[in-house]
Amino acid sequence: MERDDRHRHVDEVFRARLSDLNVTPPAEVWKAVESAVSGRKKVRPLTLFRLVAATLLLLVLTGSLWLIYLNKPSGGDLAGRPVFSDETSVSQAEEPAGSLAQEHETTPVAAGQAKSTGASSLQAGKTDGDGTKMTAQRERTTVAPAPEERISPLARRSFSPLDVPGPGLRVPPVSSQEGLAYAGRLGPDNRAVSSVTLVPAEEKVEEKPLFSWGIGATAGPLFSYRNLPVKTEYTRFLNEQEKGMLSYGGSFSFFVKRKKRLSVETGISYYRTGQVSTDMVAFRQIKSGNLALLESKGNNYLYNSGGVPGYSVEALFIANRRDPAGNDQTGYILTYLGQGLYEPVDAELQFDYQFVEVPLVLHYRVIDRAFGVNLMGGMGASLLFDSRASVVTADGQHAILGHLDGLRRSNINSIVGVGFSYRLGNDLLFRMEPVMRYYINPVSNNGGIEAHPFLFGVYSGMSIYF
Amino acid sequence: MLEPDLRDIIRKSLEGERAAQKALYDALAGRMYALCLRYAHDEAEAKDILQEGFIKMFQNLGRFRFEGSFEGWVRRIMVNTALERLRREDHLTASIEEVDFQDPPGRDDVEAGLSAQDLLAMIRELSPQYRMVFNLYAIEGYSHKEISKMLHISEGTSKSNLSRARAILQEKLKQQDKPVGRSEHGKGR
Repeated sequence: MERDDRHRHVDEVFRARLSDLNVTPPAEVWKAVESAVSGRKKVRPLTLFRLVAATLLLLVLTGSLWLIYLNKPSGGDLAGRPVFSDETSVSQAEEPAGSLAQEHETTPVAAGQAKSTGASSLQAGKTDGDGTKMTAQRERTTVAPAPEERISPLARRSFSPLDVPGPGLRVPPVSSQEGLAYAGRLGPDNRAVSSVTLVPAEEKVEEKPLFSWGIGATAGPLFSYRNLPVKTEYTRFLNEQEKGMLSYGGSFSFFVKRKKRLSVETGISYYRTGQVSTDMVAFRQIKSGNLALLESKGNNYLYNSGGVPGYSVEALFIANRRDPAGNDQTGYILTYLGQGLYEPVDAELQFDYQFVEVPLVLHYRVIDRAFGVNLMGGMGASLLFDSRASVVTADGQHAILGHLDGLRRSNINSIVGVGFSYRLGNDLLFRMEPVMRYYINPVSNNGGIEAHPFLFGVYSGMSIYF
Repeated sequence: MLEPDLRDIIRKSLEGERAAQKALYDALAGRMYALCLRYAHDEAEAKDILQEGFIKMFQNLGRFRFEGSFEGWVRRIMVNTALERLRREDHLTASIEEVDFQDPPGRDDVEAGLSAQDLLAMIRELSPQYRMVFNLYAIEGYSHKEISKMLHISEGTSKSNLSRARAILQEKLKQQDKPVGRSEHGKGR
């Protein structure tokens, strides 16, 4: 008894004097705290800058590739072959000075090409069938077509001399030694004043549209995970405790296809992602068998971790079994809930997030056969439209806890993948696409946690082109 | 701080408003620093704990649900931070000898005036294990069962550490012979 009194006395002396003691800390502490807290905020503009820079870079790259592709000499049938123009004056005397010279912009060509040009030009001169004397000074220059004279596959077809509209002189097709045909255009006075384009004589030029389009749908399982940058004990703790989540996603797509190899995909996608906190403990009412949920608290619950123990008795019903220091908190929590009223039960805490995304993905077809392979790269703007936390106990009880706070609604993610396809018909494709998505901005802006989740999915579906 | 004010300050702090963060810090820093001084070995360590604890508090501010005392919540953060720090520095993992401590003889009227600073100095002279157990039990009000879980020791060890700490402190009190209420450190309450 005397010993207890002495104990209480010592405790009381210290408690009375120290429990509410107020000691002004050095000013440097606030400066350090302020720096750490504001430092976290300063990350935002940088992240935003990176985001904008990455988006611009992608747009510029995509645009550049597209423009380069559009500016290539059109059509595979002429690709790699020279396109020549020739000046064909019927009579030098009748020729208005300089009129032809202004028609074209001349450019030099390689020696071999020039030789073939000469041959065909000469041939053309010999076969000039209406007896008009060809000029001896006819230049054997190779003239690249002026921009406005670039010939689209559609235009090229009507560019046969026989198809030239209007009355007057027609220049018949002439075979050259290289198997090229002569094609020309007549001026208003029936003189051949325009360029001469040599096209393969025997080759049938097919009419193909510049673009085709298609629609498709895919769906499949996906695995999502987040690995937090370790900045504090808390983030290290979460990394150790969390595991990825297996879920699903899918999309409806619209394709615009340029020729055979390049296409752009957009549309709308849906993804369910998340992560699972393991090593949790839930508290179940022994009497009723119910988890200690608080209906009256609506969506409110307390996720207890990170050295921040749950303070409220009422809201606390699930917690990390261990705090970041590794201490088992179960007994500590039970004392708040009331000994003998609740029992602890092993559980997992599942966080899931649902996104809709508008993707913009460039596909480049590396293998273009019945079995095809695409390389895919792009970005997506995704909107978080729902989030949920739920607890699942080891013995199968499940309870939805509520929505999650501190998440960004608008996000930007990158998209990289490989697409495999198999042609089932002329325009019908079966697709299977392993695709990875990575959130460029932190999805969470809560408590200094910068979560950049990634999603890996294997989607399969069909596409049809029109 | 009244709850509506507190809610407003917390909301503004979460939005990154510096003045609100400073107000929150100012409202709590004095008492939290005193707490840290009790758990730390020296003032430098106390400052570190205070700093780390406040950073953690601001980082986790969104988790506070206004369902209990905000100061109590922050106090627990500070205690946990001190605990983590001592554990990290291996002060608490050394084996603690379980001794059957004999109480010191006789009780003196030591309550006669000792300053808070004197008492703090006495606590800080204790070994980390004794200091932690004494603080948690005698001042924070944790039970031996809770302390045993927090420190990964048996309840018996917690009890014996407490007894030992009390004995040392009682001895120190006995050695003091100062008038009441001098050299109060800080504002005092």
